Amino acid sequence: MLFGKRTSKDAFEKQAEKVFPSVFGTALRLTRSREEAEDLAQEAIVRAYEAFDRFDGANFKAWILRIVTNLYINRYRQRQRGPSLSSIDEEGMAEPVADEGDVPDRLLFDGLLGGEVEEALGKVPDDFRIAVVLSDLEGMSYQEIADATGVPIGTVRSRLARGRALLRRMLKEYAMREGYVSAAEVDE
Amino acid sequence: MSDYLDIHALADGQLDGEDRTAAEARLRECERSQAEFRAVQGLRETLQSKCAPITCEDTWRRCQGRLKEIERTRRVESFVGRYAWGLCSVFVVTIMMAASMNRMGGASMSTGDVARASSTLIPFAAPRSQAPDDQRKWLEGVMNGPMPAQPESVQVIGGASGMINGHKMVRVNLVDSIGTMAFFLMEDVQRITDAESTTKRGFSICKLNGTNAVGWSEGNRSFLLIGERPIDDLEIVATAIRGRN
Repeated sequence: MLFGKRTSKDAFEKQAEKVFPSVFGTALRLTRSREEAEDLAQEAIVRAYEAFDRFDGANFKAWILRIVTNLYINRYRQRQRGPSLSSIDEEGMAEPVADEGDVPDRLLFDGLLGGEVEEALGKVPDDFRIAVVLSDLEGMSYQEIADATGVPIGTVRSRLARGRALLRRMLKEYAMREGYVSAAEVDE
Repeated sequence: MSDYLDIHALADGQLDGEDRTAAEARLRECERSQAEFRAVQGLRETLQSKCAPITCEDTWRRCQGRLKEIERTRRVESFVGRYAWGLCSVFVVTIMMAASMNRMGGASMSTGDVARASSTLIPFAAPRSQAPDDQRKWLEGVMNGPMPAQPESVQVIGGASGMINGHKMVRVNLVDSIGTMAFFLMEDVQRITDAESTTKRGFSICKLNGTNAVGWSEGNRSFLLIGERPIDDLEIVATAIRGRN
């Protein structure tokens, strides 16, 4: 029995170490604070370890990111001060991400630095940001995001579209402000 | 609204069957859908290329430390949980064995214990008769058991008794031609712990508050004779009390 536990711990550690950059990255992008991200990531790892015998063996990364997201929503989000959905109509019409005749993203965003993209992402309201981070950075499916956030798939799709539209708009404004792309190029 | 969401879902690879076919058809025909599709793909590529992995080795090491602690706690809890009854039984048996061995092996007492106890004993009067037989009977009554011989040259002039550490203790004050002595009897005490090596006559030698003393044990009783005189003189009296050479 003791050897069984040891094997289980080793198996968990092996899998957890592989996905830990995603765990920590997600924690940091959700909390936007390194200190809170460390707490959240550690707590998620401990929770996951304690629940490892209930893991179905399918997708470890999605399972552990679900724990991270759940913990964030239940504990950490209340302390956050970022823009919330109360100020943005979640159920409003999802706007298209692209404008007609828009410049290609490669041209638009190539000059942006990582920190600038991270900063823009941090300004996206919480629920939209969660959807964008889990989908576009961590590659989770809509169903997995719905499970992690406890909302229907339709809401996930809507949040993702709104989040992307907001983020793209911010990045575009930033690129223009910083001179990475000119207004003339955008209007072409 | 759902048109755009379907284009997003198509770009995310989240559509199957008819939904996928319909979205793909729309994508072929509609320029706005194509722009939307490219925008979603472009944004995702931007995020994935610009948001680099974050260094977190230290945090992972801390996580490993916590996992180790949890594992250690689990093992202890598991062991204790599984063997709790066994551990309790072992403790109980150990305590009972220790008590039993203590009873069988007899307790011990130091000269310091004797000195401290001596002042707390309750005094009693000396026997009225000075006849050796009367004094012997009196001593046996006081000591609640058979008394070693009492030498005729020694008189009983008083005494005291009480309990110390659960053991009955009796002090009898004696006097002979040289001076006074104190004779201690301790029930259920089988040795004086800080007594030095035994003499030729089999007495333990020790000092009590700087005064010479000789001790011996018989059965589960220990005796101590104390007096301001040389050990040899004490041994003579002790030998007479013990009743054998």
